[in-house]
Amino acid sequence: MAIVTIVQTSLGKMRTGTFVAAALLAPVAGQAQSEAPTFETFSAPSLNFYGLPGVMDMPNADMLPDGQFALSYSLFAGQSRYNMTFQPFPWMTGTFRYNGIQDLNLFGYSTYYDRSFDLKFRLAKEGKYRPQLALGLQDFIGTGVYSGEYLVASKNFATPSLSAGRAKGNLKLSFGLGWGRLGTNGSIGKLGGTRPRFSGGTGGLVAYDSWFRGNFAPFAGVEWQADDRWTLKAEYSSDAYRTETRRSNVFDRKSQLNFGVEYKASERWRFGGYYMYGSEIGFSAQMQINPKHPALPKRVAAPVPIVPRSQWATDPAMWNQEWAASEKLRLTVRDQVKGEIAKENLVMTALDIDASATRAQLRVRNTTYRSPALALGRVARAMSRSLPASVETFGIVIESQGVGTSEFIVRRSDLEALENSPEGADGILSVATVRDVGPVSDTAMLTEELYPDFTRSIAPYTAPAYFDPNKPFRLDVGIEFKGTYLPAPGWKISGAVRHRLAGDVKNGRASNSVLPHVRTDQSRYAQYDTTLKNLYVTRQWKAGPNLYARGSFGYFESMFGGLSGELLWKPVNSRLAIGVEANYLKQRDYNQQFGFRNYDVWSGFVSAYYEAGQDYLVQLDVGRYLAGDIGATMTVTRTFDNGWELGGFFTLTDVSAADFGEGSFDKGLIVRVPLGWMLGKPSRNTNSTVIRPIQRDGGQRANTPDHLYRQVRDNHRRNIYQQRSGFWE
Amino acid sequence: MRRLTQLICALVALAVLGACGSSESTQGAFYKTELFEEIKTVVKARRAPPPQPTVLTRALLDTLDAPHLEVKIEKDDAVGFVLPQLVRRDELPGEIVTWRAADNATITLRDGVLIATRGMTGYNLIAASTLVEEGGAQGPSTSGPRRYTLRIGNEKQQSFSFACDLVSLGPKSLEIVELTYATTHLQERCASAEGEIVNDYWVDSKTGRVWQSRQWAGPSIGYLTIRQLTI
Repeated sequence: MAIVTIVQTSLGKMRTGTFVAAALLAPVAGQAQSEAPTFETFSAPSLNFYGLPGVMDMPNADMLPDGQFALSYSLFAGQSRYNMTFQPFPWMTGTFRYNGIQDLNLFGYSTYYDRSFDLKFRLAKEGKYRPQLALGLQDFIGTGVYSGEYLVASKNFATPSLSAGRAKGNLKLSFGLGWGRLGTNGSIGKLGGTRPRFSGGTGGLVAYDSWFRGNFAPFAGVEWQADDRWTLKAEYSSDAYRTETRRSNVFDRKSQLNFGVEYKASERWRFGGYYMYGSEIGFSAQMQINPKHPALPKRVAAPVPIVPRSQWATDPAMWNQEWAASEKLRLTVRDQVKGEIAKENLVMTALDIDASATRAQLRVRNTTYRSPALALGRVARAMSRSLPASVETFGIVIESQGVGTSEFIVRRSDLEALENSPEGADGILSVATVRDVGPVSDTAMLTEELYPDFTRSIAPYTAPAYFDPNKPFRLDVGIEFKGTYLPAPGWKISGAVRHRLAGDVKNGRASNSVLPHVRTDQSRYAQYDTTLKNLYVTRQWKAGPNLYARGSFGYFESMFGGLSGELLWKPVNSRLAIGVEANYLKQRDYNQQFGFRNYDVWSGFVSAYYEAGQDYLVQLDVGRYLAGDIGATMTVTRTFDNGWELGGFFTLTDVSAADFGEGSFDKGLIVRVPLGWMLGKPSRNTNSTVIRPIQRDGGQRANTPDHLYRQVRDNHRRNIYQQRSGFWE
Repeated sequence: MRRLTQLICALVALAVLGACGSSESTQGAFYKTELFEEIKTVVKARRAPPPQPTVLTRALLDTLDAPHLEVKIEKDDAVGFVLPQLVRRDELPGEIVTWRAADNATITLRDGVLIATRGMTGYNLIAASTLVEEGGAQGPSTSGPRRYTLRIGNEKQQSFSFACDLVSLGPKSLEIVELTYATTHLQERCASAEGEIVNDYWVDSKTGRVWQSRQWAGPSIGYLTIRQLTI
């Protein structure tokens, strides 16, 4: 049990221990390959107290698996940290953190709450003998209580399993140099003069002038994963906790050594108990998920296979084209097709058959499947089994709110030939065309019973308010009544009424903003139990080739109502889209009934959307915001084909950092979670959340309804192609 | 149990992150309504008694009209029964039969070689190439390349390419529910950079029919053992 002794010795001995261990243990090598191939499996590396892969207070050089999303909590000595971590690139990890330090009694707060962002970059991958190397920026944009930088190297060694039948172990050794907060204990040198000291200011500015400046100190960590459940950890911390222990008296630091034991309760959950700085007990909980690895794999009922016409239309008479001339026969065919489409849980809205009875265009409302390819495959099969043999060309138009977004054109004989082909998915996409589509033609046979249509729901709602220094998390809960009325294609009238049952958002702090209070009067808006959340009319239409339009009018959201118009240019095969939105907005009364307050604004944007490849979506909006400020918003999102989106944005406007207030400029994170990912069955619903470290009035936009870009992009060439294997599923 | 915990976790997460956004779909069910419906379904399913395993006898099988296959998912130790839904041919050699289970899952065989699964729990096999020959016996007839394509968790497709060696393990007397068949045991040993798979086929020495096989359906579903119960 040499390893256990290493864990329990002090740093001085640890260095020799490391050497011994390195000599005894073989570096991790590739496994023998006699097993069947596997998919990349889900794995969840252990996180440190800051939510990044690491030991306890110290980082290691690990990255999370690409696309990973983690939520973690850690606590010791009244210092709690809530971390949200994302791995947007294989070589970069990002963390957003909310932390509280009890009894700090500095900067005018007894418990000090703060938010911070970290980034960690992989500089070199682990090799057979070479360690992995990473560089980190801790709290690089906030007020800087945790600010520090580090360079860290880590190396893994396989260790034998403890007993027969148990998983093999792994020993990870890390060594690093820290600056800033991570260079406060046992510093061994100094770079570039004295570093500015943390003073609890407004924050929000990137503090690049202090990066890697001042004292630097070494730190080290040992993590021994004994089997697939238990991990033992020890570290030598280079953080002296100066602010907490010298300027204040949060806890008593007696040692720089920390010890911990962690238990992996399941693939996704890990819990840890720790002994910190020779005096304190600590605790952590970590949850990790990966959009690429659904909670449950999606299960869709098997489709009905295509029966080639050569098997059932053997009589030449069955290929006649005269039926298209008879209105009665056309309607019979329409009803037949409509019935088959309904069996796939889709809604046919129109069917157009040309005079020669060789071409059919079917328009469909996709209420079920997230994947457009899957929906197209189901429609194509339904058409194959319900249209007369003479129809050879199928055009399938997926509509969004009554507007066709693209036409997928495929030959019926290709469908018949490729269903069981080894390269069926690639094959069908190479012979099919996706093209722009106009409005419904005059000759189309419409599905009559679709309009008017009314849907309603009653569901509980929650309305959280985050990060008030006096109470970081407030929540309102209640019931929401929602109704949507579709009078005609493209038209929608929608409204929602909320009734609050309980909550404390109304006790939030009053606004101290010097700008028009376009967003910071949240607590004033929360004084009322029954409110009209929204009520608006919206219309969408195709304004020209590749051009989509929307006009909306009404109460858009709890704080603003008015008029909104949007135009979007997006060719089906293009990575680029350009949009224009113009709004006249009036601020709603606090009571959120029908009245307005005495503030109105013209707000509008020119937006460019670009699919940058590798599932990254970049969006730039330039225009005028709610407070009348002028500027631009940059949004980068990692979009997964299963509906997950994880991204971040920031907005810079002509409002000065001082006028903006805490945070200096608007920024935040976006998380969209598709319901189907959790349920393991097809669903088009998605929950989206925007988290801002602080809500101010600069750089704010109104939530005008039904933005066009996502509706349109969903059914365009790239999405269909990326998800092509779903066509035959 | 795990499933229910998961759904409840989802509800709690929704409550905390909650209502900043809402469902994007204005048609069909709304997000929370759909989540509640799912929880109801899961609770109901847990209350239902577990299904009784079917005891197969030839007498029972003789009462069936249609051909039946028994499909066993090795990983789950689950057994299902399938009936032919469609028999057809395409430009490639081999007769294609799609077999459907009562729970809307299908498997598709080309001359007895598995080329697709649908509606099964896990990532389904979208397509596979085969080494079957027109005319002769069912099952693989030669060594050569094989390729499996699956739809994976992020909706993308992933393929596995193998180099397969066909080996005959000689005659084997095979019993399937009280009937014995004279078969030849063929083994398809397939190697790739990512790993190796082995497919076994027991082919009737006279008629060339594949009476039984054990075939790989991809990393997620694993191996299936398929037996022809009735023809």
